[in-house]
Amino acid sequence: MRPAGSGSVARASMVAMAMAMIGATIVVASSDAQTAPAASAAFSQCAVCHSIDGSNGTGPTLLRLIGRRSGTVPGFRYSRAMKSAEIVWDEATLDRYLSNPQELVPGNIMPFSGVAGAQERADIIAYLRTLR
Amino acid sequence: MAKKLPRRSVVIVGGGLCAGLVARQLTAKGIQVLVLERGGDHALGPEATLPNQRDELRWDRRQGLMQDWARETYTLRHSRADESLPIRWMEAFLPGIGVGGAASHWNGCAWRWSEYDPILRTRYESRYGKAAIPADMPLQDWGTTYGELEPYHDLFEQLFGLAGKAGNIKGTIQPGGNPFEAPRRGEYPQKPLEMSEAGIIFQQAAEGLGFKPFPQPAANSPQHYVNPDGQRLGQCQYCGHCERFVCEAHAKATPDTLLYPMLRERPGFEIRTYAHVLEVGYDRRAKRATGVRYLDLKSGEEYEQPADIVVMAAFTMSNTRLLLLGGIGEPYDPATRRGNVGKNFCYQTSSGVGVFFKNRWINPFLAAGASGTVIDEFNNDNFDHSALPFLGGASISAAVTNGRPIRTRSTPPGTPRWGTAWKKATADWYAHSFSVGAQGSCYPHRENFLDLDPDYADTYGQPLLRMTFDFRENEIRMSDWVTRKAAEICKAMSPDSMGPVAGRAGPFDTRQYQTTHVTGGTVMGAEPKSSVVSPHLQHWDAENIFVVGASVYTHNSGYNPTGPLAALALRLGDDLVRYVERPRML
Repeated sequence: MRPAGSGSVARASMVAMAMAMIGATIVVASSDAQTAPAASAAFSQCAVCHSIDGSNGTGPTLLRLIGRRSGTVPGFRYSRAMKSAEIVWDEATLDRYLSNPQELVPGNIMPFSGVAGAQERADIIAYLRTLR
Repeated sequence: MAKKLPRRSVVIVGGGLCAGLVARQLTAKGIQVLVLERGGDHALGPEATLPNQRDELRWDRRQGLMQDWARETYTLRHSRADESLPIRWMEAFLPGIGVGGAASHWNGCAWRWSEYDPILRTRYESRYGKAAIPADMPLQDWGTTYGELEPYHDLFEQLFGLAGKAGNIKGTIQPGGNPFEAPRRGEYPQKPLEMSEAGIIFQQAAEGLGFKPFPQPAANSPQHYVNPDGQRLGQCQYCGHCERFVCEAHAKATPDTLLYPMLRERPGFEIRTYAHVLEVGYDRRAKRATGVRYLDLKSGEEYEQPADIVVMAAFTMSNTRLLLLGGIGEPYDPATRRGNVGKNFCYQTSSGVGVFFKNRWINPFLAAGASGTVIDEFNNDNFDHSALPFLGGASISAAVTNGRPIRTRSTPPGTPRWGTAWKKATADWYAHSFSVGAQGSCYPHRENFLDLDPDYADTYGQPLLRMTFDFRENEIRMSDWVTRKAAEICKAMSPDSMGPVAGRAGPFDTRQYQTTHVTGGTVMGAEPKSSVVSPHLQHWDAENIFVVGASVYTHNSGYNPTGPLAALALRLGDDLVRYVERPRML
């Protein structure tokens, strides 16, 4: 038996916070109304596992992802493939990764097959840029 | 002595699917709910994260997420004349441990039952005459109808993002769906999963014979999905680790993904994990539940939790056992046919025929838990029984759920059971075979029932639940007939070889995985003399006890049991809101 799961309580509140913050982003970004709602809609599929508040869940947090080296969020257990990938996440690498995660980082363990639409990927990346 | 805790309004025994759905309805109306769950949390544990999630030995073969048989098991005898013995290792059904219960490790097969299932006795009597139902088969109507449950089916399907193809929208048959489906208000929330190679082969053969194959309704999400509560599902990766596993992609709709994280944010909701309920307190004179007594498995402390209302939403078997342990209601006695607690205990009558194709790549590892292709022509009473020596039937399907390496060892007839030839056949046929399954109904029999074992106890010193069960004549005949129908479809596929064609027969063997669905023991009905709970799931002998789960079913159908029990749980939530406002017999 594992000890009682405070982890799950933390995760639940983390998910709720992430959702609240996505909502907040839509409001704050209303000056950029063309892209923000589309971006958060596309990002919704990422939010199943990734927080934007700095906490790790099923996946590592995506706060301040742009410019980060792959496999370096403290406290998250990455696959060997991701730890040794040596990628800096920018628009170009993220676009390649999101179009087919197993092609850019073979053997990584993110259970996600990718985003087929170029515009959808661009929306997600545009949204990730706002997470600073 | 048990430490007495402050009184609570609603206490739910068991933290699975039913409890989550009941609590969703109650907490939405501001009613406080306390859930007691005997296991812990799965979220972010090794069972829910890669790479350990894929450990077939740990989670599947050694049942890492199931009830610990060394602590609590069941005993079995095949007739009243036999001696019961405790089951040391169970494969026949799989009670879960932990938040989400058995719906955490389920495959995600999410059927509505036939429109006539809740009125099955009436249906058979009106179609074939009163004499058609054997005297030893206590079929009973539920006291409710499909029409009353339909809005709750719809809500459950929205919440769990079901994928499928409607076969009957408001009475209009839809091409590509199940023409025998109970009428629905609209399409499924999501389009069907990808069809497997086995499904394509099955579909061609079944259509060639004039049948109408359709995709099985699935709680494996083919796309990213956001439910009406704002809870999210990820996209299914067809990894073949559904049943017996926690989905690390959050693509399998489960209570631990969709309900409990949300409930924990709601004011008035509390779940206590590692809380093993020992007894539902019952005041015999007042005919009321007083609360529950439970053991905190972390500290070993015993607690008494007083409650205004007790909802029993534990595993099927535990609901019955707790009523028997508490002396709540009269135990069923097959000799006198008096009493109702423990009666109408049913399993399912399942069989399968293996097919082997040298030149077709089945690739069984590419699978979702519920990505099956099915025909319903020979299920339940979808066909004419007037010239047949049995009642009931089975859904017939090609439902490849996984190709996990320890479990998947299908070899053609004539292969040695061990040695070099067996190894070679295993390797040759692994990617080239599947099984056509028949998941059959199981109707109640006077001599199939549950009671407390007089000899054996669990680790806490409480009597084990005893199953007196075997496949009876009706089920054996049905399975023989339906399995031959499945074999006709197999032959139409022109496989290179076929496994044996044999229907299910006794003795009931709990060491074999056949299906995981047990039902009955606390049946619902309109008459107190023949049921344990009312059509509103309220105990006839204790107004403030409600029982929900497959234990209230009066028979088992040729479908997986989850859909109707989820609908019943959501409706119970709404009924309880009314009961809290004004306590009475509903």
